[in-house]
Amino acid sequence: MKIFYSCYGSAHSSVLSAAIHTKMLDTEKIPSNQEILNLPHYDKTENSEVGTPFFFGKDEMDNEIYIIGMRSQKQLVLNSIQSLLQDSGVPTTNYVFINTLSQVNCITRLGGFLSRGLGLVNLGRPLTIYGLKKVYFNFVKLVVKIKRDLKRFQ
Amino acid sequence: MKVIYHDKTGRHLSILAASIHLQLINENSSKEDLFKLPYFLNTKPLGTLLYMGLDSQGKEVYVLGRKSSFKVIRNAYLGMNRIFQLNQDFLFVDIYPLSNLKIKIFDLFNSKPEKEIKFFNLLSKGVDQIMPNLRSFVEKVQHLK
Repeated sequence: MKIFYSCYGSAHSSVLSAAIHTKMLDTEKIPSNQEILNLPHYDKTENSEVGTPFFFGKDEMDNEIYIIGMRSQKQLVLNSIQSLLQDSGVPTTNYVFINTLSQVNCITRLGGFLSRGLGLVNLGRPLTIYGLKKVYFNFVKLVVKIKRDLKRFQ
Repeated sequence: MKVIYHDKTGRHLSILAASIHLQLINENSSKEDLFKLPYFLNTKPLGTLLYMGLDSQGKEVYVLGRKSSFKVIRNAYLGMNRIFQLNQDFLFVDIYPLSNLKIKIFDLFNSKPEKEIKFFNLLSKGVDQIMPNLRSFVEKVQHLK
């Protein structure tokens, strides 16, 4: 199965969730700033790349994990992708999309806007990390639930 | 190949363009014919890729309403094509630049497709103005290899 963690710009919350899923990050302790910064794609996706699904890794069940940004039109983009896949005969059991934006707080949103939106990386990037660390275990909970559901259906 | 005619709503201009491409309508079609086309003023969720038919060269013709998210959707489609090995070529054809003020005002008053259509005359007059340009534009698209 292919699992797509989606957020606004595939730069922060989807990266964090994918990293927890693929065990790059520990579920028991809050990662350090450096651990988050070192994650592939973290705060790096360019505006022109938003929408492109990036491969992140595989999990222990051999599922392929991807990250994807959908900007503010999440439902519209999702409808569009799903209708393309349906039209192409891809069974719905082959993929799942998980929205991670619901777990994001104002601090990370502001940091993301400064870094990705305005290009103020030095100011925005630390804010995104600070914001994500504050709600880290909410992301862990989300990923644990997803993995439990996946095990049930596989 | 998938030829995807897209505009902001996917409810009228792109439907007309796809229908010209598929020869469902021609210059002799009445306005009633235009408004009876499949998916004309459809209420499908925005972003849904609508299959209109197969053209004479075997290309699949689609319509897409994408608001302002075209670049995001295009990136997503190209990515899904690669990941799921769909082996598709896409030709994205933006119809929105052909729109006119009447049609834009119609869209403004009809932003919620599920609600009753208002100011239909505006759309009707807007379509009248646009049809010659739309026909010649689609003709060019049809000749693209």
